[in-house]
Amino acid sequence: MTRSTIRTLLGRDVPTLEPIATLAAAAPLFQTGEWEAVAVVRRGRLLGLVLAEDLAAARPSAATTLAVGEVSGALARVPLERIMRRDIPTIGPDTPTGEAARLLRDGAPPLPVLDGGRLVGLIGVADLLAALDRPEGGEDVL
Amino acid sequence: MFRRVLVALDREPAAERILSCVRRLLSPLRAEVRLVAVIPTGRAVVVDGRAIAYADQREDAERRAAEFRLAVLAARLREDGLSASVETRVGDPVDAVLAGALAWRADAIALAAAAARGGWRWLARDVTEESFAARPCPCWWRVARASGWRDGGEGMQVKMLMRNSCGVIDVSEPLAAARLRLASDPGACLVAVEDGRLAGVLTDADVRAAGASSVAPISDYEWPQLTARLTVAHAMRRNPVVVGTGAAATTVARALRARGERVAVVMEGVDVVGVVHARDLLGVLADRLHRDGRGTLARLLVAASPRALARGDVGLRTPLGVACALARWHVATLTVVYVMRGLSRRVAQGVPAGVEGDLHRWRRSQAREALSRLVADLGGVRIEVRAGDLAQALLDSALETGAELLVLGGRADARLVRTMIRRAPCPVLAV
Repeated sequence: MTRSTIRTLLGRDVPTLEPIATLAAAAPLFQTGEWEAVAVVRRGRLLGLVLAEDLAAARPSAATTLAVGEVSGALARVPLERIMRRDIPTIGPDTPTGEAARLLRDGAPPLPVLDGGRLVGLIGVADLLAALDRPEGGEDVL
Repeated sequence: MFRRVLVALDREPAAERILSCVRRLLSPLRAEVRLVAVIPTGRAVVVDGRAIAYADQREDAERRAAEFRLAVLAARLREDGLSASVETRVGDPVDAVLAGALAWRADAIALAAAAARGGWRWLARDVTEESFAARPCPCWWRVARASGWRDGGEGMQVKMLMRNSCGVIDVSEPLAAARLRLASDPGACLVAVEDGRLAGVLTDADVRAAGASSVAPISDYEWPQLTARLTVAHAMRRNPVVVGTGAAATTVARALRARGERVAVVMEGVDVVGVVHARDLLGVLADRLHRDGRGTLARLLVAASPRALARGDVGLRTPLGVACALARWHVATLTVVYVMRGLSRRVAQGVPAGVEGDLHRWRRSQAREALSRLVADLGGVRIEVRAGDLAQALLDSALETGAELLVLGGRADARLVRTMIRRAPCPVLAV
């Protein structure tokens, strides 16, 4: 039986931003709900991740005294490197899908996929839930 | 045990599905497999008083066709590392299979007891009912359905995955209180209710998102006096994904993906009985991929008998002994289920059952302790004590544990064995 690897789940371009990009720049990337995280890169090298929940946690609460316009201004002044997660686990295209599932099950953030140091994908919970949904014996996963 | 397994195959394609079971069960054991096809005794074909095919000619043709088919199947088994040989026999199917097993000194016979009509059903019934007493092999194992092995994820029901101990919190509770409760159980989820009805779900990420900003310049504008007034209603995710206890894991995965949610609330009628997190589903996927990568079994279920408890040890040839050996070989999780007659169903389910429940609880704890002693040397064993009808309790347990093989004892003509072979959601190994 062919062992299923992460390579079969790749295909989409990963959204990336520079560390000096602001929270306001990252916010639109999460609006569609398509991505669970944004990769923070400098000269093509992965520095960290900003998760949708990190951005939500950085936003002011309903109890803020800031006006709506002031909130936008405040978000536009905070760079991503202030909230990004560093030292995140990464995987390769040939990592077994089961291994990635175990990492995410144990609480890892979305997993950047590096191929020779180059970011080629980002595997999140939704990607693997899709894998679970595929029929057993499917060529791509099982 | 299981070093030489004879696999009886007829001409039905469904019967060949038993080979996937054989492959999976035997792959860690370096077992020998013999594929046997039984050809009916040939009769001459006579047309208008003239023989156009003699009996031996017809038998030869049938034999060649069967040998070719078996050779292909054996080659596939050899690719999987099993030692496979083939044999064709002529005559009565039951007699031929039993004679083949005796001659080859088989440890077990594997055959598909397909639900389909036809001769094979007759054979399966007869093998069970006529030949079990003769016991040419210590064990028999059979497949309940032509559909083969149970899928660990697709068929697994939510009630096996859900976290029962999810907390319930009112929407008017302070957010700080919810944060404290979630902090004590990382990865947990609270179910928010309003006037006793489900209103939403709350995870640690939701609490962080609704609370004061994590970034200093922004949080400077959030006064503690104001943030203290934030409630669960400010943070919860409304209109959560709701599923029933009988929903399949794949159904929940699909619903969570479609809605972009991470938590589903499991309800039974109007009662919230638990939650299922996306991580729980990933555990199923990891388990399934790990199992398929190894080609082995991950979850076994064995029915413990009162005799096993009374004897106090795990004999090698008993259902418990066989199941323990298989669990060790496959590094599988073994669930030992014991169905107590006369035990209060409410006590078995762990709910209060009044004063007379004390006696039942004592009986249950005694049985559980006895089972624990029996399997004390084995790791990864789950013990279940159930009440009610034996067959139904075993079927429920097989469904809920996602068992991939059910091991049980008893005479082959016993109703229990026949019922389980017919209705179990997984293959049955009758010892």
